[in-house]
Amino acid sequence: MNHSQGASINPAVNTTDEVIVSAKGLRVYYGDKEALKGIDFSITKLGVTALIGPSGCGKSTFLRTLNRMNDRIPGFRVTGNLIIEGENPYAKGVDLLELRRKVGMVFQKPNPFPKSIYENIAVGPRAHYGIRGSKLDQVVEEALNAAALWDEVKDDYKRKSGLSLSGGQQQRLCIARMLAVNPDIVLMDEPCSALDPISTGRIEELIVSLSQTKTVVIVTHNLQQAERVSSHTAFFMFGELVEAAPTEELFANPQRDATRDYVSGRFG
Amino acid sequence: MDALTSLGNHNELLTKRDSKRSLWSGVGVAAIGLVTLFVIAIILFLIGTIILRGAPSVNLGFLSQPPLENMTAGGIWPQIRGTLLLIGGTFLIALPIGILGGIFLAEYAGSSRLIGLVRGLITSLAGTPSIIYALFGLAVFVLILKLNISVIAGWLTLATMALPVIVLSTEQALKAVPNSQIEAGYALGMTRWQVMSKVALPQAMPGIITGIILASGRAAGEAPPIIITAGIYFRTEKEMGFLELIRGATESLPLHITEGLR
Repeated sequence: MNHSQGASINPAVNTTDEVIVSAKGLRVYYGDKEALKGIDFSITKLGVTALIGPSGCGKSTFLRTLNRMNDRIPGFRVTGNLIIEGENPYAKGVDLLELRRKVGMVFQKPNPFPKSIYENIAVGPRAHYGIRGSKLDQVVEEALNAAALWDEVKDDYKRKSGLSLSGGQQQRLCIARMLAVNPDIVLMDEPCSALDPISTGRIEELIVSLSQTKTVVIVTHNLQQAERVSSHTAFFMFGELVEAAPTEELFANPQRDATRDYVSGRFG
Repeated sequence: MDALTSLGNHNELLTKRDSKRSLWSGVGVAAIGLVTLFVIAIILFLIGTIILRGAPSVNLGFLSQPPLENMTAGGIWPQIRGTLLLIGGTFLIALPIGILGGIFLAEYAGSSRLIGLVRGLITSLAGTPSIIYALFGLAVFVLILKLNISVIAGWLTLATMALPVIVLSTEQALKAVPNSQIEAGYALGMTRWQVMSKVALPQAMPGIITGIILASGRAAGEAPPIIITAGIYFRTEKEMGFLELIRGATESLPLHITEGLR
């Protein structure tokens, strides 16, 4: 695997023109602090959209607003317009569980449950689809395959604890766990920042292959990673969306000074 | 190398430093070793004394028969039975309430001023001396509710005493579950209760069990509440139904030992 050059694993990702996430004037507050200052941004179906920007710029806040993971933070408020798959996730009467079934999430640090690999993955499909027995076995195997983990764990995945896996395997287990509920949109919050380069390469390959059938939105601090895996890139700074464009364009020909300074490594 | 000439020949300083360090390290290890030996010696002395002096008296008859000849012979079965009965009933009452209370405080209560006050009160109740619970049980359960000195009054008194410990340890064990685990549950589309029962509670279980053990030690071992609300030194009835058993006072180990020492 070659990590220094962008072209190694990024094929011509098949994106569409169909908008799946659309934000208009989206503002987020934590208490008095305005974390997102009116974001206008659309994400098209399929492909990978990378969110980049310096720490505290709002990219993670934007990501976590999409599946309402910020709801648990005291003082969190959101205004403006957000539409995901035709629905406003903050509208009254929205089924939060259904939103999170449609919009899956992978976190910065692998967080498998202290249970067997099988149980880690079975939790979601059991809760959402009520399946049991051999049907559930099948879903677990498919999810492990989709996360490129099956070959490494197939002998003892029903007994072995998810915590006994290596960091990279744990992250793929978390991806399998998320895939097992079959989301349409996959949110990833710096999924490789705790991993070594080889594990990172495997996850990146996985991200690209997932993006053939799912819409992936990834927050990353690693500009090379954004270049390698994403079809579109959005640059955030101070809670604002500075610039969004197809990845090659944004890196080769940034329109704004701040974007140019950031992607050329002058700050960050 | 030349920049720090004021340090002079620093190899000499390093040698001095190292000999100082190894001296203190040796002293430290020796001190820790001595203290450890002392603690082991005390434990061996305690266990040894109990076994050497107690073992000849303990046999199946001692554990399975009632006391005889004005408490100077026979066994201690009624006292064991009474103590087990008291603990069993106490936990039947205190466990569900205590664990649900802990879950409520940890996950549902939020952080209002009222909840802060409640939490403070529970904490001070957990540290309240058992004699206070004994007097409370006597006033409320024995006299006002007219339960008399009985196993039921003992259960309620001991449950009141065990509750705060169980509530607090459950709450703390739940709060110690990493946020990343909780978020993983929510991100999979679990309900609040599913996150609680499938993610948080299993991981908090060791801490909760520690709390239960602490509470049971307190409930079974504290003599005052048992003596005042449920205790009787001996009785003459031989066979009783369960209802009669719990409506009346019971023999118990703390009271038996206290009386026996007079």
